[in-house]
Amino acid sequence: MNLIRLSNVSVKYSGGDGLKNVNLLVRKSEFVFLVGPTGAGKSTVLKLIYMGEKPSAGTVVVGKFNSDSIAPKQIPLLRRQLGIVFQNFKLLEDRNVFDNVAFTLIVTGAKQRDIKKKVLRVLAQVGLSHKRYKMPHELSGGEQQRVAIARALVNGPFILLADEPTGNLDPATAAGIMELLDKINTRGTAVLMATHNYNLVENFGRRVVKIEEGSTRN
Amino acid sequence: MIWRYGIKEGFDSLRRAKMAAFAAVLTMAGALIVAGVFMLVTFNLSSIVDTLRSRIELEVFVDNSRDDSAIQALRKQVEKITGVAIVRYVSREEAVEIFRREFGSGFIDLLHSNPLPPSFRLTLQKPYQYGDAAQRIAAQIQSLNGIDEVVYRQDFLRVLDRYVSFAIALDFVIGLIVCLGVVFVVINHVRLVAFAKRSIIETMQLVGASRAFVRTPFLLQGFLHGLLGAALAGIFFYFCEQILLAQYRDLFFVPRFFYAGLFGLGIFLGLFAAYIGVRRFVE
Repeated sequence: MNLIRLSNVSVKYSGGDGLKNVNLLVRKSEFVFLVGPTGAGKSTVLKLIYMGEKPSAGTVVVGKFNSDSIAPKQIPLLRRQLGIVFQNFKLLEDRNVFDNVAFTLIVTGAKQRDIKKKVLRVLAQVGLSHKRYKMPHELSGGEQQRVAIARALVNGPFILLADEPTGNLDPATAAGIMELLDKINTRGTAVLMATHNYNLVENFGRRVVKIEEGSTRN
Repeated sequence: MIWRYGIKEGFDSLRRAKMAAFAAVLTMAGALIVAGVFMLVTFNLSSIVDTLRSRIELEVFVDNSRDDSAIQALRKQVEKITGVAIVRYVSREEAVEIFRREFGSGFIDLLHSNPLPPSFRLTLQKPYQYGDAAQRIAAQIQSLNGIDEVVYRQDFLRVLDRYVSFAIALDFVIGLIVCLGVVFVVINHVRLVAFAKRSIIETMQLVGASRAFVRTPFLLQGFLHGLLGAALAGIFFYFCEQILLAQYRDLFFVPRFFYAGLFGLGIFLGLFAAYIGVRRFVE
């Protein structure tokens, strides 16, 4: 079953550096690396998937949503089925770890009693239960990324989109994050990870899609 | 859920950024004071002009040879003319009394007969208290058989028409500029707040928050800024009113709906500015 399909997708920017005829397929429970140098278009591909960007040509299909027909008010519904993780974590600095993770559930209208249960479960999954009352600035980079992953997972997404999740981390911490992503994938959540780090990918033994100058090569 | 979160988040934001919230409330209060002063000047100016217009009277002199039944018939004809509000009959005897009151009794008592004709004094309905309309009505009355002369302050009405239309146009332009300035200041303030929170807004949208969900806390903050700003402005105007009314009771008035209008405008501006301010940051 295909979760994500990009068919002949192009994105044009006025300053150049868009995407040209990109094709990508991600199946259920698959772990796929999207690898390419900085500026190759990796983040744009992820943006297309969470419909933060519309393709100039071609079609993006994510689950039951299609870029040709999706209405603006359906985009939040699509994003509630995805988990998104960024290089710079994008945590809310004015609230603690628990509230950062709970935020996703509040936004989606979950019931109060379910929120606590789900947040504690996902924090245990990423190994941060004991730091649930800490503020983001009191955590290390690796811990902050774990919080971001917990936030992405708490809604039970069918796929986790990770944009350079290890980009800001030292090798040992990055390895820990990769291990966590692998564990998440073995539990059934598909992972699409964009990275420029070829060494990381080589040691992992998963399907790799290369992207260079705005075009994909499988 | 949206409302519960919006209310909690709105109040939390005010608590977290007390100084910014205080500045926003002061900005709103200042803006409402400027708008309020303008409103009061407009109301008072319009009221003075309305009073002057309502005092305009047409004096219609009837041919001295007409008997009472002919005068009554004329009165009925005058009353039927569109735009005429009240017709008061001034008999020849009453005219003499008025003359005595205004000019003294010396001259009139020298004469052995009463030379003053009977007349009607009539006021005009509000939409007809203008130069052109008054002139039309005067001409219509003048054309009636038995009317000698129609006298009214035609020049004064013309001056009033000319300068008041200019003053109203000027008032409208200044009012528009003041209101736009107020809206601009408040929008800019909200935009700065929204800019400072753009990462929160972005994160909210990435985890699937709807646009309404993202906007709600900002709208609530806008509502509170407007409400509190209006309360401050209201206190300011209340004290000014007490001081001014004590000295200039006849010249100055505060319309009954002024305070309600101030709160309405404050809340509307707060909500509108919050909506516009946050719109740029919401996809």
